[in-house]
Parts: sequence; structure tokens; C-alpha cells
Amino acid sequence: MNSIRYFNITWASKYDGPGNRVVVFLQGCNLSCSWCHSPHSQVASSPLLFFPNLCTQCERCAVVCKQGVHHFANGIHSVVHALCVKCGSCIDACPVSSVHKAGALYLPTREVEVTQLFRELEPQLKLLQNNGGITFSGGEPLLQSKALAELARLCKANGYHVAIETSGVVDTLNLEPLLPYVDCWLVGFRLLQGYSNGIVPAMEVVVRRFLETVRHAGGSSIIARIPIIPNVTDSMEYLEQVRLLTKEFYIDTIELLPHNPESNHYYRALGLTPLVTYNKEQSEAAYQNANRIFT
Amino acid sequence: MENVLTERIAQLRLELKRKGSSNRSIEWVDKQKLPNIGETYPNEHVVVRRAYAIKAMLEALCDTSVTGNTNCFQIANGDLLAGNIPMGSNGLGKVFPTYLTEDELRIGSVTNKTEMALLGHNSINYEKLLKGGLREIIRFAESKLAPKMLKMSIKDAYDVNAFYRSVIISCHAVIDYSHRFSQLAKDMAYACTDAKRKAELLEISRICKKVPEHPADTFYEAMHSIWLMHCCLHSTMDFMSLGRLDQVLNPYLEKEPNKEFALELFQNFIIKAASRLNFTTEYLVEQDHMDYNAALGIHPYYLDQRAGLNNFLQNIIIGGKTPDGNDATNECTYLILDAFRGINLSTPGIYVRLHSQSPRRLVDEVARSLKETKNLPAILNDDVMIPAMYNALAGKETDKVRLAEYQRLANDYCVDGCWEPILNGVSEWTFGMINGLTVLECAMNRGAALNPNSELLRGQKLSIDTGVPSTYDEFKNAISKQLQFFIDQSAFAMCLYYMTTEFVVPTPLVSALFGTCLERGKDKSWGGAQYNIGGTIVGGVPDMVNTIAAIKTWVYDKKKYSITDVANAFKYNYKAPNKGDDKTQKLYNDIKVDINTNSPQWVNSNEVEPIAQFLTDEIYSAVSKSKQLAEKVFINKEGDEDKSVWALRAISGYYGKSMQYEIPDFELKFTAGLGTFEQYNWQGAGNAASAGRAFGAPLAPNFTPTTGTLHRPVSSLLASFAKLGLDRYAGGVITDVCVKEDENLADLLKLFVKEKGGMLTVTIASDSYQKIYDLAKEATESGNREVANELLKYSDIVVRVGGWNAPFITLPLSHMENYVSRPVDLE
Ligand code: SF4
Ligand code: SF4
Repeated sequence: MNSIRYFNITWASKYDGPGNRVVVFLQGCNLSCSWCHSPHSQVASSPLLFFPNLCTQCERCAVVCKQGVHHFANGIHSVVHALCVKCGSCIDACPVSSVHKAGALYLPTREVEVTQLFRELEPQLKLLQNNGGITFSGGEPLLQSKALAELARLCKANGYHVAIETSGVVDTLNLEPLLPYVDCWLVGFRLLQGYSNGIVPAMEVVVRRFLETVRHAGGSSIIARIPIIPNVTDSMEYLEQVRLLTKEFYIDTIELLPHNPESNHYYRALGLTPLVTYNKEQSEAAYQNANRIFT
Repeated sequence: MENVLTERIAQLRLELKRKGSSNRSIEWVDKQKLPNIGETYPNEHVVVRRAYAIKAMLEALCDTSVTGNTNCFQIANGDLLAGNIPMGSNGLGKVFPTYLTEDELRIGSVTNKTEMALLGHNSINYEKLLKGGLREIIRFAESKLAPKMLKMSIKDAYDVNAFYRSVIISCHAVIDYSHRFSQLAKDMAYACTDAKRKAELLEISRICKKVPEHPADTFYEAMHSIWLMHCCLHSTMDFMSLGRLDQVLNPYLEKEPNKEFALELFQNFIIKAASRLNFTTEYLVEQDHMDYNAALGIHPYYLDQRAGLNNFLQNIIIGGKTPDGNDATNECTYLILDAFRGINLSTPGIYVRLHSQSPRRLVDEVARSLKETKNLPAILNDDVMIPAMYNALAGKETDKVRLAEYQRLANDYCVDGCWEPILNGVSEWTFGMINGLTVLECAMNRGAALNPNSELLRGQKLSIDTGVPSTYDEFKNAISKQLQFFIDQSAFAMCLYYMTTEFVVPTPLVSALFGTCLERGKDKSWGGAQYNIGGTIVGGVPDMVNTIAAIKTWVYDKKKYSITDVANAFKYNYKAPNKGDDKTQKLYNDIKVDINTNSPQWVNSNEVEPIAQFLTDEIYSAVSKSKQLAEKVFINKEGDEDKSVWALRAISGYYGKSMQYEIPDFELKFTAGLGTFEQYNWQGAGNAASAGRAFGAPLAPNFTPTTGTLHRPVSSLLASFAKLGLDRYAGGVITDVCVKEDENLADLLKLFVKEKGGMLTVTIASDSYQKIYDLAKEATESGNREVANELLKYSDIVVRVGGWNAPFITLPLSHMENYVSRPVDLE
């Protein structure tokens, strides 16, 4: 039996593939894009998230934590993430953190048998069957390609439209098991990560091979989903290269994703400073600029 | 058709909103001005007195010296239908002439029975009315009268002669009422200078002269006939539901060439039936006409008057199947749905019957209506309700002819003024309610409620002592036994008091058009209806499921706490009773966190499914067992000869004959239902804490997960129904969901039908719930008139309140609070 790790499910999204879709966000990523808005998805199992606005300062968490992660001083509850071993005791003790949904404290990663997850998803898949389907996103979903292939197979066999959102920066070995079951690929065209302001040739090679393999297998469509992050992915040269690549693979549907204003939400919950800060004017200007290039 | 109201309808709706937003206390009929029939005719049989009271009321409503400000005897500008229902509602009470004698009223104090005790949970046979007219009924009744009228004497308690006289008197009263409006319309026409309106008034005059006395020939006449009858029933205490109007009206609609007029007429009908609405809650005390009768059986059933303020027990049911099992959707189904979509008021209720073969167009139109109105219509699943009704009727019957008849009746089911399933126009319905959380408290606490009052020691002793369960199996066993106790109590009380209304609220006008009453010469309250259905409705079942799941986890699986610790934590609402007792307080804190946030929950956790199944199985089985004993003791005539049955009757406090003694083929079809109606607030007020619910907080509304605990999409909730066997529950199982999304509604409805849910209401959440609640709170606390007026801007936001729909702004604050945390978020 395969099990699969995910950190979130959105039950009805209109932004992640054709129609209205269930989106399962799989845990773990091989990249660490500076603009990533789910930094907790990158590692194999998410660190503890802490949302101070929900905390009632009852201090029950501090009492049960053996690692001394939780501190209270001057009416402020601070969390030393580095010490946490993710045992979950504080969540059990917290009155505003439930096993059923995110609360003040949350360890979002859940590992579950593929068949069980399918059973949980199926009612909503039935509901969305006529005008949507399921999208596997992440993290990088292809890192769990074996389990994912089994889940995708179940979805496909039951008549649900399957999409996978990927960076495309993955080995074709991870891609191949999925090919028979995927109707639509949402490819992120990550040709760089971190702060480098230009294409990383090695990444381009991998993405190109990825696209070749998908096109070669046939039977699925590709949608390009290109993040437009000011000062990172918005240079003319970079976007022009991306554009050429989409042309080369006959990708007609191109979605430009502006910088997410909420992108520092999880950084705060992890006690981190966002690597790229959101700037409204810049991000709108960059978006309009990119729009001109792609239309 | 476009969702645009004609000028006429827009004006009528506006006028209703205006009236409903002002002080309506002046519009009530003054009881002082009505005659006392009990005093005038003390020697008449009560059924005849009731008929005279109907006559007196319908006369008074057309007498301007009595009506005053009531607006009862008028034809409003533009109105196409004559006849007006006086103020009254399920929550505010009704006004009617006294017809009981002083002795009857005094004796009734034991059983809480007065003239207002009419339950009104039924529909009448409108098809018969349209085809034959009241004249036909009168002719039939006259043919049955003894040759010489036995004036002023009562032959026996169930005096057939008196019954037929009462039918004749009340039918004449309705005819006379209509004729008075015919004359009024004619008088108004003469005075009218607008030629178009003049012609309309003359047409109204002509029709009121003809129906409901004679058969209806056109759609207009049919609508008028039904309206006048509905109006007379609701004016004379009988809050009857409207039944399957698309089936009754379609033959007339097919012949009607002007479909725009038909739509306008139906919308006019809706506005008239809604004419008693109150949109403001400022003037309710002045309008409170309720008396002490609001009781069912021996259990005082106190209405949540505020929640029932705008309930009139009038539903229209459309779609579904014909008696022979084919799809019943017709042109009129769509017309009625369109009419409701355009008007969007909270009353009358509109229910659509859907089944797996319902036309795609109907499902789409229902989805569209839900999207536009945000709350209409409610859905009944034929694929579940028909088998449930059939099984309740068939019981152990093997006769093929009878079974075929039961199938036809089941196919023709509808619901009454709330949502209890009934047989269209032929079945009497009665019910008892029990609170599932109280049952659970008794299972945890040796038959006693969890009450923190130390003078009660362990708490009020409500039922049998089932011991302290030390294993999960023992716990389940205790729950089963407690369920049986409470369901027995409810079911036997239902039998025992079934006939207590027979000499208090006979209903000759209803009986004229109800089942076999007329043929048998027996009033509905004398068991004249052909079929009698009784239901035990269990509330708080979703709360039970989650609480049992939590107890199983922490008491029996993980053994972290004892059942007594958990019971005490619930009882004291997690506050240690002794100040400074830190040890207990810590224990209760831990229990609270584990029960509320670390336990499996219905829908969110698949492992809870067996518990939901266990409860639905046990409730059904307990009702079946109660039915067996009740039949033996109270219903079957064999018991009349059996000394041991006499002894059992004596134990119940009953010394009479069986129900079959008077009516040889009498049967009470027992069944179970799951729901709360609007009672979830009041019932929960008496309960200790439970999973996800504080001490005294509302129960889960109907059969819906405890408010605020559903973290999976509604589709998951629907999928959980399939394994619960809800098609055993002829008392109905209703789920009220409140969603943020208005997408995929058609698919949601189809999924609901496929997953075998019973009944469903959908409310599309408004962003304004919190804002309205804040305003209402401010208005209540400050009495500020400006804030109250501000609230009126939101009068078109309608929500489900368990048994019916109501304008959100008129809800009690506690109900509003509950609603704020209802919407299911899919993010
Ligand atoms: S998860 Fe465990 S180690 Fe981490 S903060 Fe909570 S209790 Fe401490
Ligand atoms: S237990 Fe929860 S609510 Fe209490 S202080 Fe810790 S995080 Fe805050």
C-alpha cells in the first residue's frame, strides 16, 4: 500500500486548472524559489506553524512542550521554531487547535494511504465531475510520483479529470509513471530560483526534457503558469526565453501569475522573513509588462 | 421566463413589505367582538359548535364593525384574488370565537387542550374541491342526514348526524363568505372609474359567486377556489398546508391561453398567503395571542414563539412522481417554481420532490432558483421518501391489492406545513419529539440528566438506571436502553393522547375534503381519516454521534478519563464547582480540549460512520418495538377482551377501549424521523455540554452536523447519508446546509438524490449575517428606532430555521448567533 503526504486540500478552486477543482497540495519540493508562498511545503514534513492572531495565550502549549519551544513574555507568545521536533503535543493541548482544521498551532503535513485519501476526495470529485476535476499541486507533486500515480490512476479510472501542477524541473523518471493518467499539465516554467536574475541553463535543460516527454506521450494538454515576480522573474530577457520555450512546445494557454499579496502569511507562521517582499506597484507594473510580452 | 415582476405584483409585494415593517398589532381581530358560541349553543355537539364558530368568524371578517383596521374585508388595489386571512401565526397564536363550554375548557386544563390546540399539520384534497365544489359536499352530507334533524340532542359521542350538520354549516359559511366578496367586488366595480380595473373587479365578482361552491372551469377559477378555501381554513384556526398544487392545477393551466397572466396570478397568490408576515420584531408583545395549549401529548412542547413568528404551516409541494410512479413534473411545476423565484418571500414554503429520473430541466431550474433566491426551494428525495412511506404503510401486510394501493399512496406523498411527510389529503399526522442529548446524558449518568444543581444530587431522574458503563459495549447498550425508554414514553403518550382532541378541536371544514371522513361520517379528529401516521422525531442526533465518538476515544479506547469525569465536566460546563480546586479544573480543561479539538467528528473523520449507523439503526429499532407494544395495548381490538392488556392500559392511566373498538380498521402507522424543527435552541438550552457544544448551546439543527464542526465539503456530508438507511425513516430526515458557494448547485442536488439523503434545504450564505446580528443586538439593547429601521434594509435575506424559512432580521439573537458560524467554507 502506498501512502502519500500532503499539507492542504482546497475543495473548490477556480484557479488551478480547467473549471472548478479539488486541489491536493503535496508535501515536499526539490526547489526553493525565493518567491514561494508555501515555504513550509518544501521540506519533507512541514515545520510547526503558529498563527498568533488565533492564540488565547493560555500557555497550555508551554506546559506540555518538552523542547522549550513556547515562550511567554510581556503578553507575547513567541515560538522558537529551531527547537521543535514536531511531536504534536502542543497541538493536542491547545484549545484552539483542532485535528480537523488549522488553528493557532498546526502541523499541516498528513500522511495517508492512497486509497483512503481517494475515498475522502471522492464525494467532492463526484460533485465537480461535470465541470472540473482534481489538481495535484505542491510542493512538487512529482516527487511522490509512485504514490501519486496510484492516486491519479484511481481518479482517472473513475472518470475524473486529472491535472498536475509542476515546476517541470523534475527528472523524467518521476514523470513517466504519471503519463497515462494526466489530462492536463500546469507547468510553472521555473528556469531560475533564488535571486539569480537569468536563466539557469541546467534548469532549462530539465524543463525542456520534461516538455518533450509530455508532448511525446501525447494525450494531455499543457498550460503554462508563469510567476511574475518583480526583480526576480520579470526581466525582458528571461520572459522572452520562457515565451520561446512555450512557442516551441505549442503551448497556447498561458497564465501569468502576479506576485501573491498574501505570500508572507506562512513566513510569519514559521517565524521567517520573506525572501521577496510584496510591493503592490512593482508587482502590478511587472505583470502588465509581462502581459505585453505574452500577448 | 424573466425574473421581472409586473407592475401589479411589484406593488402588492411592496405594500406587504410596508405593512410588515410597521406595527401590525392594530390589524388583529379583537376577540371581544366575536360571539361566544359555547354560551350560545351549550347543548349542541361540539362539532356543530365548531361549525357555528367557523360561520361566525367568516361572517365577522366581512362585518366592518368588527374588522376595523384588520384589512380583512377589502380588495386591495390591483389584487386579483378576493378574501384576506386575518393576522395570526404559529408563534403569535390565532383569534377565533370561543366554542367550548366552560366545563370543557376547565377539564382541558389537564391535557393543555383549548380551541387553539389544532395542530394543522395536514393538507386537504383540493382536486376534489375543484372538481365537485362545496355544493357537491353539501349534497352528499344532506343525503346522509337522518330524515328528521335531531336538533339539540346528541345521539352519541361520535354523532354522525352532528358531523354531517357541521359539514353543511361550515361549507355554507365558506360559500357565503365568497358571495360577500362577490358583492364587494361588484360594489367596487360600480364605483371604479378605471375601465380596466372595473373589468377585473367584475370578473372577481363573477368568480366568487361561482367558486368554491361550484366546480372550477378555468385556471383563474381554480386558483380562486383554492385561495378562498385556504383563506377560510386559515381564518378559522385550521393552518392547513397546500399540498401538491402543480398536480391539482395543471389540467387548468394547460387550458389557460395566457401564461403571463397565470404566472402573475400565482405570484399574487403567494403574496396573499404571505400577508401575515412581520418583518420587524418591535411590536411582538402586543401581538402575542398564544395561550397555554401549545402542548403535544403530555409533554409540554413550548414553542419557540419568536422563531415561529412568521410560520403559518403552509407549504406547496411540486414535482416528484404521480401515484402510478411516473415522473410528475408538468408545466405547472415550472410555473410555480418561477413564481416563487420572482417573489422570494419566506412563506409559503416551497418544496420540490426530486428523484433519479427527474428531468434535467427541473434540476437546473431548482438550482437557478436557489442561486437567485438564496434559499428556495427545499428538496425532498423521492428515492428515499417513497420507500420509507411505503414501508411504514405496508408493515406486515401481504395482500397484493392493498400493497399496490400503498404504493400509489406513497408515490403521492407530500409534506405538511413544516416537513413531516404525509399522504396527500388522506392521512392524519401526529408526532412526539425527543431530545437525543438528554438520552445520552441519561446513558452516562444512570438515568439522570446532567444538571449542576447540587440539590438534585445526581441530577433530575428522567429514566431508568442503566448503570455506569465500564466498556464501550456497555455504553452502547446503555444508549440503546435509554433510547427505548424515551421512545416508548413518546410513542405511548402519542397513543394515549391521540384522541384527546376529538371533543376539543373537531374540524368539520377540513373533514369535508379530507380522506374518508365524509364517507365514514367521522370527523378527522374522530379518526375519520383513512390513514393515521404517528412519528417519533429525534433531535440532536449529530451531537450524539460526535459526543459518543469523543467518549469512545478518550474513555474507552485511550482510557485517559473515566466516564464519570467526562459526565461531570459536561455537567459543570468544564468549570470546577469548588473554587480553588485546581486539580479538578485542570482535569476539566484537559477533557474539554480533548473532546472538542482532538476527537473524531461526523463527516470530518470516516471512523465515525459506524457510530452514526449504530444510532440510526437503534432509533429505528426502538420505534419498531414501541410500535408493537403500542398496537397490542392501545390499538388492536383483541386487547379489549384480554385481561392482561386491560392491566397494561391501567398502568398507563388509560381505562378505555382500543382505538379499533370505535373504528374497526383503525391503524396508527408508527415511524421515526430525525430533526429538531426550530426547537434546536430551546431544547439545547436544557442540556449539559457535549462535543463541540457548550452547556445550554443550541442542538445541531435538524440532521445537520453540529454548527461550526463541518470542515469537509457538503458533498462529503451527502456521501455519509448513503450508509445510514434513511429510507426507513418515514418521519423524515432533514438536513439544512448553509454554503458560501452558489456554484454546482444542480450537481449538488443530483448527488443528494443519488447518495440517498432524505430532505435538504440549502441556504446560500450572506456576507451580512454578522452585520445584521450586530445591528439587531444594538437595536435590542438600546431600543434605538433608527437602528431598527436600518435592519429593515435586510428584510429580503431569508434563512432556514429548522422547520421553515424566515427573514433573518426577525430571528431571535440566539438563532442569529448560530447562523453566523454556519456557512461551510471550502477554502
Ligand atoms: S510540536 Fe512538540 S516539540 Fe514542537 S513545539 Fe509542539 S510540543 Fe514542542
Ligand atoms: S495552547 Fe494554543 S491558545 Fe494556548 S497559548 Fe498555546 S497556542 Fe496559544
